[in-house]
Amino acid sequence: MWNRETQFTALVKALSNDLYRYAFWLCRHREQAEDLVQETFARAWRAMDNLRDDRAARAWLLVTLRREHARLYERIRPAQTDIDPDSVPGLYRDLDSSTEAWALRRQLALLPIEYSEPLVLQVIGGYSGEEIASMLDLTPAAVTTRLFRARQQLRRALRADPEDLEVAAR
Amino acid sequence: MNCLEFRKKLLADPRAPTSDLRAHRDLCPECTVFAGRIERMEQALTEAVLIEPPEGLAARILLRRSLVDGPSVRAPPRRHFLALAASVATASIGLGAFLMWRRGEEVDSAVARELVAHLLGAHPPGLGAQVRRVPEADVVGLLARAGFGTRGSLGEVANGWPCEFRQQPIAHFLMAANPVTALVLPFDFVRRAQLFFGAGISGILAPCAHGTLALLTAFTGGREVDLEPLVERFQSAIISA
Ligand SMILES: [Zn+2]
Ligand SMILES: [Zn+2]
Repeated sequence: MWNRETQFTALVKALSNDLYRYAFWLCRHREQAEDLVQETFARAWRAMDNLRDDRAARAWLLVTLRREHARLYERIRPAQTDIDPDSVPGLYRDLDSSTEAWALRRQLALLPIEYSEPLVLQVIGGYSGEEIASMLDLTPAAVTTRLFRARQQLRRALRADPEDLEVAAR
Repeated sequence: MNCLEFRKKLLADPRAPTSDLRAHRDLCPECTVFAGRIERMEQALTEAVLIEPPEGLAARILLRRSLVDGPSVRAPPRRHFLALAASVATASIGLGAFLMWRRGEEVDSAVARELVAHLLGAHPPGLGAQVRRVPEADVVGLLARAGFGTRGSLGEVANGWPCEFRQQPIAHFLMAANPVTALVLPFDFVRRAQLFFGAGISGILAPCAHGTLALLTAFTGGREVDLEPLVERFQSAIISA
């Protein structure tokens, strides 16, 4: 027999970490990210009857968190260019191995949210362009363009391959 | 497919190269080099995106659920319970990392931890399970069992459990308004009311007759329940038996 509480517990254990990561890259703040995850799961508890399918539940949680973020924080978020990544609490806390990852995290925090959001969804959720498009209310072509530009900006910022930059310019 | 198309497509999704991408890569040495660089960047990018979530996150989400809808009524599988208890213990809920005590006074962290462990633990079905409303006489009975008398009403109680804490009977209530979880404990843990909040949970520990009242509730986005009127109601309604 289906048990609401058992399934809720399973959802929390399976998805809270990824949801937290998505929240963090939306608001770039650790405490706000946890508040967003808490609020999202509070809504999930009330909607459990419709969340029996795991993949559907995952997408529902991400979209709900995104809506909560817009409702609670978007208006008070400073313009992206005002964010100093070195002031974002906890941004580098758990990175010690790869300097490239460290630099990328810094650049990710500087990317406009329009670019970083589809990228983060692709990395943590493994979603296709079409899936991201439906979550973000965009066309698949727009998502492809943003993903391309996001990675292109990261590469440029890392100055990894200066000779490839013409690809972006053309 | 030409080199430009290849690179644009690869940057949009390097994770699952399509057959036309693979075909171009196999034929074009420059793009093979390019794809190798992108693959390395993608590994670093994954590492960068996957920030470490705070310790005890899942336990706090389940705790918050238990505060607004009552504790778990089924005996959880043993492994699950042990894992939760461990995450609560290592994260030491109640102090430091996530419940920041507001007034600088320290409550014994062991008490905070045990309270959380109690709230996360399995409970028998509550008295209000059928009607979501506990009759006044049952509320009085639960308090008497824990060694407390009454001289007034606590307000509407949605559910109640006859619980134990440190081998002593305590009263565990879910209040109908808001909702707020209340524990009435026959231990004098605090001398003055102490507020705490964090991680979507806020609460208060206050002296109540010869024991302690613990009120806990969920809050986010500034929608905080004002617990102090409820504390006053409990303090005036509950007396030592
Ligand atoms: Zn080529
Ligand atoms: Zn209890």
